[in-house]
Amino acid sequence: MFQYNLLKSGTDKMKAINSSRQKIVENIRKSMMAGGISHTLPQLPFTDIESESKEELYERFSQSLKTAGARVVLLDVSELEGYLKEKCPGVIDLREKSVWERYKGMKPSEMEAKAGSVLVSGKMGVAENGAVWVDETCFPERLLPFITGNLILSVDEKKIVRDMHAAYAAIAGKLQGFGVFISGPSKTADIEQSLVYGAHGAISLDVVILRG
Amino acid sequence: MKVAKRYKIGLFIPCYIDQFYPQVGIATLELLRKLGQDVHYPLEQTCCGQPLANSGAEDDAKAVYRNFVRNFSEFDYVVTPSGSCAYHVREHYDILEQSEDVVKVRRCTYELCEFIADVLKVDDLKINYPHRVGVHQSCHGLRGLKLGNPSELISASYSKVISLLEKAEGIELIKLDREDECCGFGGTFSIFEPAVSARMGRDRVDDHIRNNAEIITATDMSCLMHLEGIIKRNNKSIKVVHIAEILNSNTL
Amino acid sequence: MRSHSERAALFLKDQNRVTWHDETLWIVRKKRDKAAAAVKEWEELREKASQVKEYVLSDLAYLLLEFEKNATQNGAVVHWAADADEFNRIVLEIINSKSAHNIVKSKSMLTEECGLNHYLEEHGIDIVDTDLGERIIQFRNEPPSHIVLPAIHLKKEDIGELFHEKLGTERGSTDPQYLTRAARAHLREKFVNAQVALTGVNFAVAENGSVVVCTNEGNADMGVHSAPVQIHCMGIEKIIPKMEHLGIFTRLLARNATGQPITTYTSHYMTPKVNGEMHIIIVDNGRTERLASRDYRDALKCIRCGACMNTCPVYRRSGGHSYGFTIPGPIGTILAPHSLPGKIVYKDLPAASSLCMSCSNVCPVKIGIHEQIYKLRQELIRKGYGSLVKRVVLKISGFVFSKPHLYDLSGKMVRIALKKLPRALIYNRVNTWGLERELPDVPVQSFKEWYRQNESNK
Repeated sequence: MFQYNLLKSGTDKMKAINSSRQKIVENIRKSMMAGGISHTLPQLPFTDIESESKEELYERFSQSLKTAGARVVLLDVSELEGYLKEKCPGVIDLREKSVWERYKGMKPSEMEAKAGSVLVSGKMGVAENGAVWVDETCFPERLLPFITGNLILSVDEKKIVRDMHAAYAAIAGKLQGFGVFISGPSKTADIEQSLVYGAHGAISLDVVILRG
Repeated sequence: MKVAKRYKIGLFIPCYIDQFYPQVGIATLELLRKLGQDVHYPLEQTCCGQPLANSGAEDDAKAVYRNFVRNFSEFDYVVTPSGSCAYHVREHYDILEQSEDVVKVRRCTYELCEFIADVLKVDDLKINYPHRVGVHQSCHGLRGLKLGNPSELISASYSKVISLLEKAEGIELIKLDREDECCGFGGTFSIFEPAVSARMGRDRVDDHIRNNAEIITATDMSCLMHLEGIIKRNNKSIKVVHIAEILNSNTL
Repeated sequence: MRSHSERAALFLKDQNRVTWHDETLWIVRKKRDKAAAAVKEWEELREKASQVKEYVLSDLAYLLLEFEKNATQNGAVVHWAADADEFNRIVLEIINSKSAHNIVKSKSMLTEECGLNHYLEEHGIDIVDTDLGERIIQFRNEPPSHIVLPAIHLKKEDIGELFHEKLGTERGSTDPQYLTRAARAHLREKFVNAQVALTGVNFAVAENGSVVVCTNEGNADMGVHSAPVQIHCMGIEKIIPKMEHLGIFTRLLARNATGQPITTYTSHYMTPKVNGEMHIIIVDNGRTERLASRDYRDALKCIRCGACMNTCPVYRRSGGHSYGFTIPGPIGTILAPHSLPGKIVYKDLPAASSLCMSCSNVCPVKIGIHEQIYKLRQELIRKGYGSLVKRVVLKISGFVFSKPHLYDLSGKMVRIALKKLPRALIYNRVNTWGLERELPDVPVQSFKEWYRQNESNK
């Protein structure tokens, strides 16, 4: 009926785990008979929502980011290099694949010492909450965007979507390895609900929205 | 105050109003008559059974439920000056066998303001009430009977209770810091959790005083009984008045 | 063990702290209102979320097996734990198989539920909670008082003093930014040396075997990507069918929890890192038993946003620890009594609610929390758990209220008693109403007496 993937190993321990697996699945099936009501999945919501112009999406996206504590700048693609030179000296520019080799397999402690500021090319921005989607194809090590003190994310203005429904519609079926929505710098309010940036992840976040 | 239709109404006066606040029952009776209704008060009535059921004794409450149904099945509507009791009859009499009488009583039991707003559709109450009034939105009326939109729900703003009060001339409805926080009565909650209950009550009274209300009103005397107990113990200068008494106050 | 009402009374002794606690959580509730109101399809989203979760509960076995198949294909190792003991044992075995001793953990209510920290400590393994709030309470050796804001019962002075002792911060320093930086430095060292990282799971996606973890601090990612071994711990109910359903839940979760439109990090873990190991432990621990209960199964829809706590007028004034259960507040109240197999525990909790229904209205997956509290009260009395006195009083009241003449007579006697008896006798210790409240004045006549006299013959 279903495959016992773990049975292959054949050890006693695996058998024990397997018996819990079987027990849980059986209990679920029994409970269905006892009081289970069959439900169907709802239609996915909000396909009828009116579309927004590029300007409206940009406006909402950058507003959401500012609320989340990020700095936002709109640049023409041709202005990016100059901007980085001036504002982000020493940034590790991960758009350059040649840079990747240096960080692949690097120990966290070493990474911490070296990755003061990191630029990651984001794949998509979400207007409703300022989240930027980055995945494994954007960086050589998963830890980099988190361990760095200052994270810079670039997003193509044309890649700003309205909401999380649109975002997941774009990701579904394509997720590989690891991916994350990042919205603002790391934060906490665990001490008396006072907002503090830089809990464990990046202390500051710059989002560069690229036009043209 | 003319209304188009005259209904045969069974007046249900909750047990604590019957015993401690007869003036609220009288005001309800008079008000319904002013509104042209044929009001009857069945003398064999006792209680809706909620105090038992809320304590977990639903099974013991069944006999009380049956007595309620016996008393009120003959009327077009059952009207009561309590959102909580009306809610209980509608929501929790589901454990009785759903005979024709039970179904009818559950369907026809209304809280007073709701009855005036939804059934009689009165839009002209000729009353004068020159006071600063804070409306305590009792939870079972607000969230159970949906007499208004609770602040948690993202929906259009309305309040059947406030809309009625706004018709009174001279009334000043004050805005509270927390528009619909529970007062902490909660039936037997007030007995089993006295410290939290009293603190909730004090906070509710303070909200009214801070916003300069003279009077706290509500659809439910039970909430007001609790708040009155707090007010008296702490010698606060604010009064509680049931909404039936306001709506029944001197006619213009 | 003290009851909720006794613990609440203790918490309420410090009235100023209660004012602060209440106000602070009320502000979180207001932030949630504002964030929710900004989404015009909010109520529709709640409805859809509820429907997805209901579907999940109706097809859980299939979804879990589908998840297992896909996660395994991704290179993760999936474990199944029937109960807390087995869960703890699996974690320990993984840790021991790596001879690991640097263990970090991001927030997981499941590990709290199973008592994992305690179990590991008993086996000589230190585990470091990395969420700031969790670290604070771990230093204090106490449980969280809120599922999203674990240290909300503490003031910055408490934390300043604690960090002075534990982290060597300046004595008397209470600045949140200063204290947070100190914790950051302290935990950075733990992260970069971590050998095993544990996380909870917000959502597990059946269609591709990935798990989603939401944090603001970034502590889940710091741990997971630093340590060679990552372990994700999930209850069986965390499954959702597809990625597209994340659209619904990620829109609801943070808005409802803290008023943010999304958490800072919404991380999707699908495969182990290069040369790393990824374990997923699926835990039952009483959940299938709940699933079989028509009355209480809906509680399994919970996505642990904590909004029912923030809105609860009782929770805000009694504090999370007054519940005595891992998960406090309204949702804890309906989870606790059936949290152990075959018996009812935490019998005091169903009474710790004024049934104001606000919890059910804020719930992002529309759990009828107040209805379940009501049902639990019925179950407790039906199964004979109430005190004898309470049960006798209820029996007598039921009898009296069903007999009109007896009711009239008893009412009259009560009123006479209240009028005639000396105050000291009425305001005794048993009269909990009278501890902080006056009883109503007693009228000359009941309404019924008045009616009989004035109206009966009309």
